[in-house]
Amino acid sequence: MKKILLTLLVLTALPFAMIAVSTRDTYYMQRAAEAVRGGDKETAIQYLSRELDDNPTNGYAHMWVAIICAHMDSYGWALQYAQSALQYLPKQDHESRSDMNVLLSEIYVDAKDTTLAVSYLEKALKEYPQDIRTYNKLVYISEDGDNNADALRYAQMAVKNLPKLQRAYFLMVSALMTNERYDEALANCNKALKLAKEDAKARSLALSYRAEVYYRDKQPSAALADLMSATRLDGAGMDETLMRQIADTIPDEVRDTLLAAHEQEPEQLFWSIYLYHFYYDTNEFLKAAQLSFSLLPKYSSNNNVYYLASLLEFHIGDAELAERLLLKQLRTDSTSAGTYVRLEELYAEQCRYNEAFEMADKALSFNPTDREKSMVYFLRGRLYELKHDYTKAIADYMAGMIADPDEYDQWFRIGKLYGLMNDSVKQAEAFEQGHKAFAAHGRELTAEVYVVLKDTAAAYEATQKRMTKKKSAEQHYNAACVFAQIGYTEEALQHLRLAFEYGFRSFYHIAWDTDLNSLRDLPEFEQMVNEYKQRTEQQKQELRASIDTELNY
Amino acid sequence: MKKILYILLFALCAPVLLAASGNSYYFQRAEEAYNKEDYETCLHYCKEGVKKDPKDGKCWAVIAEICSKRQFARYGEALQASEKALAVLPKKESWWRAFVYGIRGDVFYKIEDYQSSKQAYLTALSIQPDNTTILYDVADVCNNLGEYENAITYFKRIVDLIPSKVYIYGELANAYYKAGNKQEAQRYCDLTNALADGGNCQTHRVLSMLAVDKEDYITACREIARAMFCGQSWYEEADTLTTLCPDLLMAAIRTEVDDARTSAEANAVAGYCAYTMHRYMDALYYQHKQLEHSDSPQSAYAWLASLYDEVDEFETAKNYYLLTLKTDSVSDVWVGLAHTERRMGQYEQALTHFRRALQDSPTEGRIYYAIARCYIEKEEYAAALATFDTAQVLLEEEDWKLSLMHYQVECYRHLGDETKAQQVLDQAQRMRKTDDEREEFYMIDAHLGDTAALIRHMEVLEADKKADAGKWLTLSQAFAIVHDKARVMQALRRHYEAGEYAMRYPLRHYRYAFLRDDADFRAMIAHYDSLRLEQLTELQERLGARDTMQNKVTELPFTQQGGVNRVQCSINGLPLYFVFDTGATDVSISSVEASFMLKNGYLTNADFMGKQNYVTATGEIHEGTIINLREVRVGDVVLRDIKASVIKNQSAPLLLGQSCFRRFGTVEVDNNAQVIRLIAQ
Repeated sequence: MKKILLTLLVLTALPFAMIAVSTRDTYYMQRAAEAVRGGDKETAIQYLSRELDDNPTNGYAHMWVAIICAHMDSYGWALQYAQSALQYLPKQDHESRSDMNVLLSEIYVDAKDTTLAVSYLEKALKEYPQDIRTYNKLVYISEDGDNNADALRYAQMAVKNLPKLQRAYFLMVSALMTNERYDEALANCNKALKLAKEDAKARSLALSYRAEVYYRDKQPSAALADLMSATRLDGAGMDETLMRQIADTIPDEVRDTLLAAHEQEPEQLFWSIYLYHFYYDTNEFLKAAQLSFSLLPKYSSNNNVYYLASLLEFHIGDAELAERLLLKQLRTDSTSAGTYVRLEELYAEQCRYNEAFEMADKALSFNPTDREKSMVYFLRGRLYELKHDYTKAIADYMAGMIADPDEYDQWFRIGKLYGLMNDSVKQAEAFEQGHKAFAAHGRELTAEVYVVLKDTAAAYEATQKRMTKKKSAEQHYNAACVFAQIGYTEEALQHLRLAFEYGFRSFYHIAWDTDLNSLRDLPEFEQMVNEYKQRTEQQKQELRASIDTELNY
Repeated sequence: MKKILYILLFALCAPVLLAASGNSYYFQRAEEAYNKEDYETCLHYCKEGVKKDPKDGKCWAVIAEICSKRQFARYGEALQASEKALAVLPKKESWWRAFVYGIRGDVFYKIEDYQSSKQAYLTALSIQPDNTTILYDVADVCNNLGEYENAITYFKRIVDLIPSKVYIYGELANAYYKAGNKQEAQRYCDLTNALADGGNCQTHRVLSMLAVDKEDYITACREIARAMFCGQSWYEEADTLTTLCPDLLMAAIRTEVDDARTSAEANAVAGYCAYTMHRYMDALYYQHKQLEHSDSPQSAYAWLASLYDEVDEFETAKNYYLLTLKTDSVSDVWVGLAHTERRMGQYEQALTHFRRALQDSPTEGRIYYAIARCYIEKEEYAAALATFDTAQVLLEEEDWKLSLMHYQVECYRHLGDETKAQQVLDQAQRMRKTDDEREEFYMIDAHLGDTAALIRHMEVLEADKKADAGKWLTLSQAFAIVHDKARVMQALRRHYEAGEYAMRYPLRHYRYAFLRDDADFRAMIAHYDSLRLEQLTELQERLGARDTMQNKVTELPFTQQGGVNRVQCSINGLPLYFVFDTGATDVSISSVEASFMLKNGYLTNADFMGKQNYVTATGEIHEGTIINLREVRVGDVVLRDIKASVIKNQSAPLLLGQSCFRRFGTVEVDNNAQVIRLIAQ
């Protein structure tokens, strides 16, 4: 419903003074307007109902009931009143009629009925072709449905009908990029830039668009220059994704540029944020962590703290610091299920069972999202598995799948546990469910699944296939686990070393991960782990020294 | 939002009983009573009204309306009153005439005469074509008649008239699904999800059915669990899933109840679901949780009594029945209590309580049946036969009669009257259908001595994955009658493996007397009983607050540094490394840590056990200060209220000493594995 709410916010932000003509300025309408201004939607609805009792054909009353109902997530009523509003709104009030059509289209977009949504948007355009939001929606719906030609057609209509509006050109740029017509896209960016004149924000927006066109047209240096200018002009962070993409292509240039900017303007948060991503992406985790700690006072949202905690545990090997960080966050916000889940994860990694169970309980009691819920169950299930309590582990894995049905690969894990419980019937059933789920989603089985199914050749092949061009610590670690389980010791050790090289430092995880059991007695394994533990110790000390000597974390 | 909806509903709908001028005094008084939901008084005034003026059609209509309510269920009277109302209500009173036809439709619907119901609703609709209540009724009855396309037409008319009736989109999804149009069913589910932000009960049910068809059992279980928790009828779908993926369904129920763990109602639903799936331990867990969060515990008491009876915990069951009876002295509870007492061998008490139940339900044949069984177990066969005679008159269903017959055969044989026994068996044989697999015939065949038939029953039961586990217990009794030890044991094993209990029953019941001293038999029962006790212990653990000292052995990894062993602990939530020192008396921490803990809220002034002046106004802590550590976590173990001393030396090591370790029975240091083992007392 996000999209709807955004539009509604715009709609409700319209000056209510528009009501102050003809049927709009009756006593009840004015009282309703006052209530809306005071944020009291229920009272507004009461006045609008009274207005409708007195004057059932007042289209504006219908319109506002529709808007308020939609704003209150009562979409059924919104649908009804939007339709009655269209019946009673004066024919000459094209703008209001257009708004109602847009509202109806948004409800149908949410209902995944794009055909109806497009038909309402087209009606909205006929009523009032000067509203860029309508073109915007049409372009996005078309692009979502891979109707690139339609997207371009709507964008062209926008430019034709609103030639002096910068956003119309952005729509063109977006549609042209989708159609890979970069020269024309650049030309439209330049037109948008021209229209912006001296308006810094407008210029920044145009430059951002141009940066993206340059990037897609394989001109990363030009893209970087435009993105930096756009960010400076706007005074706020803009497009992290694009920056990360550029950094993948020209890492040295990006680092030098960002460092220079950071040194010149250390107070600007966005340079630090970009640098953080840059360091992270280039495996310079210590720098990323240091930077992230320096950002925390200004930038301490739950999500940022989770990122940092995960970075500390996984890449710096400092689970203690991660724990302190999360506990500190908990003191700021003690009702966040997410924080409890991360603590559960952290304790689970360290096999601190009771604390992990306690955090799981807490997380479940603070209204977790489905994703968080599934994390809670999977982590707890893993702990039960480690304790050889397979019945409880299976129950939790199943609950995890229920919370997040996309985790259907857990069927194989469940099957494996049934096998350990000597229940071959249930094992076969679980495997069958897993196969069906993979087939239904059109996915090939993963290397981990092949390991469970004891298909060594397929596991080997699937792991090799998974090693993409861009390597990560996690990818190598997972490969090491697969190879260790299918008896390819040399490959397993090789990938484990690569995992360490790419920044894997979760020593607690290695300590319990049964996937690596076949390597544990090897001197090379112990030697490797100790070698990286030593390096990590230095890194940890360096980080702790740089962030705080007063144990604030 | 509710408020708004009420306002809007009020604006859109007419009240059922319209106050209008020209109504009789009696009608107006009846209306006042009706609006207060005092239906008896309302009925009284209406009856007075029609006595004074038999042409008072509105009074007749209201009589029909009240008599048609389920709580009155006087359907004949309702139909008569409606006929009289229609005979006198003038044509111009179209709203009232439609209302009366609607009542007739309701009555026919309740007595399951759907064709007549549809006819009555359609007549009402012809008078008021845009009345959405009547449209809904017609659509609903069409659904019941399997006329799904018609149902769809009527439901669509409702949403054309009032698009805000979001639940109708759910009904449309359901009707389309039943009509076999899954694509449209999915579309209407999506639409409902969008309009009702997350869907409604009906769509959860339809989505579950759609998922079952795609063999996507994760979604199917998730959606049906959601439907259960909003009160939607779910038996059919849940039944399918109980067979296909019971564990997954239970997991889905758990995830739902986890969201509402403090809701008595949610726990009650989960308990009920678990019970229907024969997951008695889970059911007990949720009913205990219901009890914990409920303001009125009677329902939970009754459930707990019944469930403890299921799991062979008769003493506990009896206690819960007695608790229930303190506030809810109904026949069913007396019967439950008496059954438990019978199972405990307390026959006199059982008989007293069955008789007490009869005071409230004197025509309940099943109670006589239960009393007769008590007499059999007391070996009072004549009394049993006399009571079965009464039961036979009162019990109408054939299965009950059959069940009663095999007991009669047993009684006659005990009394040495083989002729009568044969007569009853002949009578039972006449009731047998082809390939009759009713469990009552297991016993009849056993009394006939037809072992081949019993073996055939066993084969059929083995092949039926959906068979009720209770049938295995009956079959074991049948084999007990023919003294077939191996098959008695096989049937009992199946019974227990299906999650049923009744371990005490075979050890006590007269039919198993020939096995009572058999070592194999007793060993098998003992095995399953030990599993039952394990499950009960586990249940207690789940229910009790997690006592962290229950872990018998905790392994604590340590690292060696500078000749000392360092372990990680957390003090009041702050993780710190301590030196493990069994020679030290107390836990000690340096003033640096203590100051940090005080500054950051890990310690409060209340934690300082020494004199107040040990802590200066600037927050400086003097050497020798004793503090109370509210929570010390060592590995998995949480210790509370540990005494610790603060050392005024910034580089003093953090020592974990005796005040912590004496809480454990034994402390072992394993230098090879680099772990410290804490063995709880």
